[in-house]
Amino acid sequence: MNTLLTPLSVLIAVPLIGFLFTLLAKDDDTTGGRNVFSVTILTLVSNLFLLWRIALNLDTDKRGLQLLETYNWLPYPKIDLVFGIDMFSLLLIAAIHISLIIGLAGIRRRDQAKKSLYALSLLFLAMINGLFISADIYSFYIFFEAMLLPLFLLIGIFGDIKRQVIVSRFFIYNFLGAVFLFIATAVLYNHEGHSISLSAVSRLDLSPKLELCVWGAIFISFLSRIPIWPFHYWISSINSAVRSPLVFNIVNLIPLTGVYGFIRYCPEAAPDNVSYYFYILEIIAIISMLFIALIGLINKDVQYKIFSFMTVYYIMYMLGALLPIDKILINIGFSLFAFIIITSTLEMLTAYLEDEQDDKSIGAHGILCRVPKLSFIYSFLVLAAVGMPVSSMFLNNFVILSHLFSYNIRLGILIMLALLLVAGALIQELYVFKDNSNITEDTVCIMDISAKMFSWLIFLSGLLIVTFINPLWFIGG
Amino acid sequence: MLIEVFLFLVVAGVLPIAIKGKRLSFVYLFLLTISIASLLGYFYQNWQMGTKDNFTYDWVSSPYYPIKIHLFSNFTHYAQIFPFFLISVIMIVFNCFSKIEKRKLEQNGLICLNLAALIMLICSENTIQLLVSACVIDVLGFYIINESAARRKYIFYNLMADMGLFMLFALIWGYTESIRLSDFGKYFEQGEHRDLVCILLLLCLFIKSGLFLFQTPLLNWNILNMRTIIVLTFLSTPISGYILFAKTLALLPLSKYSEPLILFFAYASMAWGGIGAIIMDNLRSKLIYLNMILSGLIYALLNAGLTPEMPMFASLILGGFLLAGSLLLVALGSSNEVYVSSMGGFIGNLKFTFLVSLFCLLAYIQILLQLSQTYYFIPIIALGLISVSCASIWSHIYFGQSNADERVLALLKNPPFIYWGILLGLAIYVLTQEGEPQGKAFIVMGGVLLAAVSRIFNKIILIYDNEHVQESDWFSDFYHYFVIGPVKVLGRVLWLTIDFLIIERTIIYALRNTVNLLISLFQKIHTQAKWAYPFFLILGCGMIYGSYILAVGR
Repeated sequence: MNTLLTPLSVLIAVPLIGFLFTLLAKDDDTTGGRNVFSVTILTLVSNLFLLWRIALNLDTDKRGLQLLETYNWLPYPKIDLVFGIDMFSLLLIAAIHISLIIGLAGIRRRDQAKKSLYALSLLFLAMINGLFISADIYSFYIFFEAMLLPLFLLIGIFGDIKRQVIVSRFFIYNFLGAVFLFIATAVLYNHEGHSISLSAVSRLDLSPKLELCVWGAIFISFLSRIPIWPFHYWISSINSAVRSPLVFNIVNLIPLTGVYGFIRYCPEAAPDNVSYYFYILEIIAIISMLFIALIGLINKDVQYKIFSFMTVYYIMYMLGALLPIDKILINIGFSLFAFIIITSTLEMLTAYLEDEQDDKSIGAHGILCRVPKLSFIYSFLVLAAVGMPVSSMFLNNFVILSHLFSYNIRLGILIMLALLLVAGALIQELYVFKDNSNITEDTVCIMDISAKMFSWLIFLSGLLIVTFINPLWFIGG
Repeated sequence: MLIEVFLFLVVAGVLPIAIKGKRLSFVYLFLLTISIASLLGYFYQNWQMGTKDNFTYDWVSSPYYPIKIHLFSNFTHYAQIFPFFLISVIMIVFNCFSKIEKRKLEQNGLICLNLAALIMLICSENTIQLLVSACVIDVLGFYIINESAARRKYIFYNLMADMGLFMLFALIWGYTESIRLSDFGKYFEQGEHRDLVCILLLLCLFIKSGLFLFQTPLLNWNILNMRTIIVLTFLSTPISGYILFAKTLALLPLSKYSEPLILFFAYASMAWGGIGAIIMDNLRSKLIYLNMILSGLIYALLNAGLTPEMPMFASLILGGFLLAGSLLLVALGSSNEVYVSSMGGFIGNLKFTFLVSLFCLLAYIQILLQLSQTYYFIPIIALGLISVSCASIWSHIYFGQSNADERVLALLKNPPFIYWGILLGLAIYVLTQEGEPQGKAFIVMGGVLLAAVSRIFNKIILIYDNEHVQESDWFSDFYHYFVIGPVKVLGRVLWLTIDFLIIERTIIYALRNTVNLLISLFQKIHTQAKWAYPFFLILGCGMIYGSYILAVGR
């Protein structure tokens, strides 16, 4: 298929067009950034509508990528761009769009709402959409690396503290991952003489040595994106440095790309030769989970707590995805859908609280005591995050964990311990925010969120509850 | 039928959120109280008529993970729900007539929602429904507790228990591929890690019910008002612990450790509860410790064969509630004085209150004696502990010289009829349910009265004055120093050594310095340094030679 205006290519094209429009849009003191904001929102909503149309055309019982599209890019060397989508990718793309809308809502009242931020966010969106619909290794590699450019600029321009140091770390780690994936992609291409679909990588007939090298490179490249020890440090330092909720949400999608890479490259079972990598990965993953969860528990920075929470969950999803069971993929997808929305909203509200704290020069203790709307939403989100039955995370995580327990009970117990620690860290923070022991009539309090924002957050909470009430709607549940 | 009750309770519980304005709130509060009381009547009528239906909602109809929500109306469920429904209605009425409660409507709404969640828990036929309702009860409990200091440990302990239950049900599902409680048998055939499952299950339930070693979150409730404490102890997480225990009883024979563990925790809770009820000065703490005796007793009896659908179970819950209610009357009559050491000689002004307390205790004694006919010494131990505790409490409250301050003495009077009337009525109902009061019950009652009047527990007042005993929280300190403290230290050490020392100060610095070195080297090369020319010359020659070797070699 070589037609340009097919649904999947439009998923990439719309944000790119939006990107161009934001660059062209008039943005001065008179417009107050409303033009670019409207263009960005319109782009995101249009894509969400398109996703809904695509979802209607997907056969939920069918395995593998659907609606495949191929573009002949280069005749020699013969490189095609192949796109395809399944319900898992679709859920992730939808969650990313919602996450960006949440981030946009969070920066509306801040000085940071600048044209470049909107434009780069849309460019990032186009690239990450491309990654999630890539069906072959070349397309995957291109988008895997292309998304780093807007990210690099976003962190460089909008990272608040120690910007240069952070950007250099970002470069070092991601460059490392990029080189390894490039080597693996080039070797696989040379071996086969043409590009390979993602699901076929694990079935290739390679010599044992080559297999070890290629899979080693693939593992390192994806691990460099996930905050697994020792790669966690660069993402954690970015998280602590970024104060803009939109940039924070975008940065926190990087680990998702690593997890997604593992899921697509090892769909059911990786070759026997590389089983050692899996053992090593499991050990490192568990150590990282416990390590980051423990640091999250003692760290007083709420953003670090959110980061540790996200990391532990991402690693759990990765371990779930590596199990040789195909049917839990959709559970991971739907759990991730709620997870991304919850963490994005939590981050947005945390940034709001920190702003208010700075403005009023007050501490975090009891900050939620006199703001009923904000307190209600924040409590709801924390309860959802720790696994209470208010979102699709509850049931889907139940399924994922039960498979992990069946696979290896010790692994399962350690994962649960890490989940408990990060849940404890979040609850601890909520308690600090709601602690009214020192609140008196004269205590300075922050401003509650506006009615418009409250309605939007209620809508999101409702969406989460809908995902709980009908947790498997996409497969006719 | 239960589905109608359930839906009504949910709507009645959610509506207070939308109610604004004082007058409208008052009207709704009145309507809510009347309608919930009528609903109880409707429920009781259907129970007596034996109305049955099998309401099932297909929550998830996927072939992989079928989940159904069951709300079957049958005798078993009616019998289990009844005591909690009755207690809920009584507490709604008490809240409604309370002069000091500021959140009447909100509290009553939460009680309705909590009852709905309890109904769902009792009707559970699968682990998911069980988990969901247990978690909802926890969240509602969190909102019923309106003091942040009382919330902290409650939410941590219950989160831990919920995650433990989540883990073990996920583990069981992983083996049996079924979430039905009736399929626990399959785990007998296929399941591994049986000891882990049983021990984890029991610890989670003990945490929920606040048994020995895990009573700290319940003890933190002693800053709440008495009504809230009663709501929490008789309708919230401790109760969900009992029900979960009864529902998962089939799993316990899997491990040889289950029985000793249950017995140890049950008896230790009864003993610790008895000691606490005697030595604590705070009336609210006494109430919590008395409930601890009840919790221990219930676990021991459930283990011995008592089931929640038996009338004796309902009577036992109501007996415990009556005793707690009798302490509530004292607090109401003495203008919310909570320290027993600041009471004494109240018999003159609180005659009715004392009379109702007598009936309440008689009903409780009668129930325990009835239970002893089947379960022998277990209820007798509880009876002994409760009798001694009550004798001590009454002795300090009603007899002897008054230590109350002028404000309390001036306002000392029996609480309004609505409070003592309801409790008296309930005590008489429980007594008549169990047949004619036995002679033994009167003998025990006489003994308690004698001990109270003779003030043989007079010396305990010395312990009331001991600040260390009254304020110390040994178990909490133990967890703080031996569990939480080391975990935090470990986290800090890891952060300092791995993150800071190894990654930040070693790897990152090394990389940065290497890059800086390379940059400075190339900068120097590109300047007009004299040694740059020979260096480049040698480098170029080396590259030509290398290329030549490679080409010839090939």
